[in-house]
Amino acid sequence: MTDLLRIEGLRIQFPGGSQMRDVVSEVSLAIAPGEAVGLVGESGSGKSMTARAVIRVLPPTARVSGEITFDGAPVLSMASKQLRAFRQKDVAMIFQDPSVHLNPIRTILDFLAEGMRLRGVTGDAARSRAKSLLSQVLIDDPDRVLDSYPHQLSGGMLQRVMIASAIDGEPRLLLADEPTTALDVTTQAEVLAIIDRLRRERGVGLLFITHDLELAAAICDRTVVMYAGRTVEEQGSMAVHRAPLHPYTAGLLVSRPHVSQKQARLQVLPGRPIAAYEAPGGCSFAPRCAHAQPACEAEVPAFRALAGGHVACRRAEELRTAGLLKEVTHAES
Amino acid sequence: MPSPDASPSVSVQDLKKVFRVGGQSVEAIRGVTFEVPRGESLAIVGESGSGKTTLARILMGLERPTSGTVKLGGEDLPNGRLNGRRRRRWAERVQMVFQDCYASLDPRQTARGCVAEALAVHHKAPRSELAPRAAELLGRVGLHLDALPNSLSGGQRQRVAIARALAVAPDVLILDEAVAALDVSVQGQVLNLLADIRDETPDLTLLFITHDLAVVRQVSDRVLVMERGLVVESGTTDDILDRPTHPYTKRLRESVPDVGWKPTATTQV
Repeated sequence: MTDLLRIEGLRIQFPGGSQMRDVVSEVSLAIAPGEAVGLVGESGSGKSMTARAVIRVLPPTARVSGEITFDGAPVLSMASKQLRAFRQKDVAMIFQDPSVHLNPIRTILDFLAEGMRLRGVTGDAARSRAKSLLSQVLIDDPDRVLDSYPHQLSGGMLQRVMIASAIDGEPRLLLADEPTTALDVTTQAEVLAIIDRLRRERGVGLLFITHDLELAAAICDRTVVMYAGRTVEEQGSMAVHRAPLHPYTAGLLVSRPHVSQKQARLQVLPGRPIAAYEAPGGCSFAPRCAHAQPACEAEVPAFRALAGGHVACRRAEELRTAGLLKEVTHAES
Repeated sequence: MPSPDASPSVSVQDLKKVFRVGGQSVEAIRGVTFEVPRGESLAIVGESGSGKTTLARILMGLERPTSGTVKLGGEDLPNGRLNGRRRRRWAERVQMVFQDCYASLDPRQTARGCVAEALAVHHKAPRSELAPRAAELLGRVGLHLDALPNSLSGGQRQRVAIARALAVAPDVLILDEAVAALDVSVQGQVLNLLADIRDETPDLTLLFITHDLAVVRQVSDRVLVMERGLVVESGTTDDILDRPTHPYTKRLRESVPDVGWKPTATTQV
């Protein structure tokens, strides 16, 4: 089966001082039709830039290389007409803060109808289409919401409106950039359930960007982990939790608090996450890695197949065999 | 005067706060009562609009309560505006660390200068010892460098804010979503730091305002659950997280993503 989205060796640079600086050094991932893939990383890892590169909404000073293909068509070389059709029909993106993407002096109906107008859907037809979209995101009084202004609605409601707008063009790929980070936990659960249901019912491919491995596991088939502008691990979402392949993933899993059990002290990673342009030669994670050896600093580890997934760590097999990458389960701690 | 050890560190009686917004009254806090013994860590959880930040701001003396009483170590929150000496005196009892460490530090003041200022304002060290004492406090929070905030990471800035609060040697430290904006790997470091501080300063009372129940499990002894300005449930951390009884607490607990968790949706007005 052809991949719906394929990213190969993506590199994104911005001018910084006198030279170009990497914000993404090497990202490779693929999404099959109808598949949900979580893209997990801390701040500066390049996950949002990766998603923005897919719909080509990076700032104009960005220099992008590598390959992005949608259904076999190269995205980076699309001409403007083709690109517009791609954004209108094939792909949609939702963001962390819906309120900055909505015009405060226009109603929700106005906002939803704008895209429809391009397809010649106006007037009563647009209103009834908008109503149907809102009921698909489980808003049970669509008429009131349609006539509301953004400030009259809660954050969870606005994010539902953004999702409604995203599915209006019946896209085959949805890019969701931390769509629930700004929401309360109970609202987060509801919005996630809506995204999950829509993508299953409609067979939409989903790239779900988050800093939270649990969230990725909850709604994604596979999880891709990024560190300092590189993909470092890719596996089934459950496998990431049970048997992480990369020391960074293993470190993230044990360093966060668990709701089900208190730990005397968390087993934290030293230091802080770095951006791609701050990365040293060799493995970018080596300075924070408990298992780093001099050879790790010599060259960038290849992103290679292992145990049904992929990993960029030269010691992965060895560490796995020695049981050094196993997450400490709650019962054991 | 240090208060007798018998009195609770924080005592709040029937606290109410009404805001006037555009000619309308909004009840942010509708009658909240609780006590926190000295040295305990209390988590205050609830969603946006539940009143938890308003409660913290009242305890800090940044908002006036509409009615009710607030006592810290047996001393009443003074009536009227807190300014000058009265504000300083109250601030010696209670300090706060905010979520946004980019807004809460002066961009022109170095980490050491920031902590030294707190020491100077509260007469905690003679002039000649300000710099070494500030460096010592920063060392205690794991920051062994001196720099302006814009060259510090989020985690380092939050350490500066914690060191500044501890410089005053308060009875009560309020942390308002203080780790919410930090990266996962850095958040763990700050949570461990807070655990170390509790071990070293057993009399320090912590009020941890958060929406993150995993953080609650890690840092708090007891939990207060707030919904729309009221306390709907309170108890030990284990009781609240493992045996919640109020429907709202249950819903909150069920919404926490964990391995194997699946989100569920309801229609919503």
